[in-house]
Amino acid sequence: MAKKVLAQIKLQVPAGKANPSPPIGPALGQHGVNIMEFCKAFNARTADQEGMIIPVVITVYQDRSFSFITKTPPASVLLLKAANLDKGSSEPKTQKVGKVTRAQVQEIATLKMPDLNANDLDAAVKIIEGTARSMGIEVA
Amino acid sequence: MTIQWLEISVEFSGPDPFVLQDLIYQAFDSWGMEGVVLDEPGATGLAFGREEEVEELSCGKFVVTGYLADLPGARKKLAGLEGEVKRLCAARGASFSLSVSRRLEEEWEKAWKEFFHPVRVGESILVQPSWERVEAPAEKIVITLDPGMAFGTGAHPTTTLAMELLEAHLRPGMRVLDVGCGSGILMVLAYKLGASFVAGIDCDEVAVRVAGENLELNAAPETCRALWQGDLVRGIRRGAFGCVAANITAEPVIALVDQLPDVLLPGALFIASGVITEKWPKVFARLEKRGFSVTDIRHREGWVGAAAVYEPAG
Repeated sequence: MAKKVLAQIKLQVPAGKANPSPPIGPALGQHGVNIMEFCKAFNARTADQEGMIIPVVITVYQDRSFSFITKTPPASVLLLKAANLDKGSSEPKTQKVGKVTRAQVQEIATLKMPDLNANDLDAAVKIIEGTARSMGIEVA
Repeated sequence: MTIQWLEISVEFSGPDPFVLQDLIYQAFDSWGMEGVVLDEPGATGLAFGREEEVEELSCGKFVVTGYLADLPGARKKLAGLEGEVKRLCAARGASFSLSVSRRLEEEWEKAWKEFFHPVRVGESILVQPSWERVEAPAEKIVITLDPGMAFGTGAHPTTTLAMELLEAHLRPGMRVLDVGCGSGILMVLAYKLGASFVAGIDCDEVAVRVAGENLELNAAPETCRALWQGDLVRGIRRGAFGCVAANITAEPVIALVDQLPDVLLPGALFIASGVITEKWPKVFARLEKRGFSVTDIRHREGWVGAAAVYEPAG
């Protein structure tokens, strides 16, 4: 019989660097998950992606055991990396802070495809372009 | 001193909520909150391909939650974040509400303890939390533990693998070094298995303190134990230890294997755990290359633990 699920928690944290500080401590502690065990397992799985921000969905079962799956890094983080920026524009309409190529957008869309709410690559590309515009990053 | 935290939640609704979620996340990140909790509607257990009865899932709304240590400057960051979220939402025709509450570290430090109960490991080991002791246990070796915020309760497969390997291969009288000692559980076990001296090293000062407390709790005399904060085995004298145990992860295990020939004498025992199955071949190859012969490999729930003997050629 399947184990009964108590909760699902989605976090977005740096790869390979999980520790019991917030947000991990309070998010998992309140459901009775052994925080250090999660940190160890997460760090073991993501050590080779260090420097990236990784979304992770944790399923907590009634007996407080847990499983988790990691997802692709957020589009915003991938765009900043592609454009070699630390931060997006605070005035995206008037002030452009960087550029990404169409090929880079396509690459990000392909990578993000499994996690995006998009039917095909074109739709995924549109979503990524929308995020880029909102951050003051031009697509050229 | 206990740190107080500000828990900052932004609830929002509007068109393209996943794009907005990503942009709001960027705002949190730029104001010093790199890690966040994301609540979103529609998450279900079915996403895992199994039908599961779900008790408490999504709150049905989009919320991004981040935490700031309540130190001078936190309020300024909070105001900066609010300004940025306001601008983001206004530009996209979305609405939001921001709420702040105060949280204490001890709330989550203690919460999980309720679910740590005595566990039996290997042939003859019992691990019991210091607050829930077993009356007249049948096991030969009883370890009493308060892991606090350090790793190692005996419940995790990597810890049980390392414990079973120590139980099977450690010989009384050996001097044992635990690299990445965490809660000190392996040091306590080594002491109870008859090690003449147990030493532990960890990069985390919390672990160093907690391991000392657990050795004390298990009556390991001060004259036969040592603990320090540091990086792998740098600074250790050659031949000082007959057994090195490391329940860490694959990458530091590999780095450790490179350093061990400088400190181990031929015939010394090495116990490695914390390696995920996919990365085991890499660790195995490095062990062979550095003169270790692997004598015992055990698999459990996607993790690998192994015992090896240092036998350099020539």
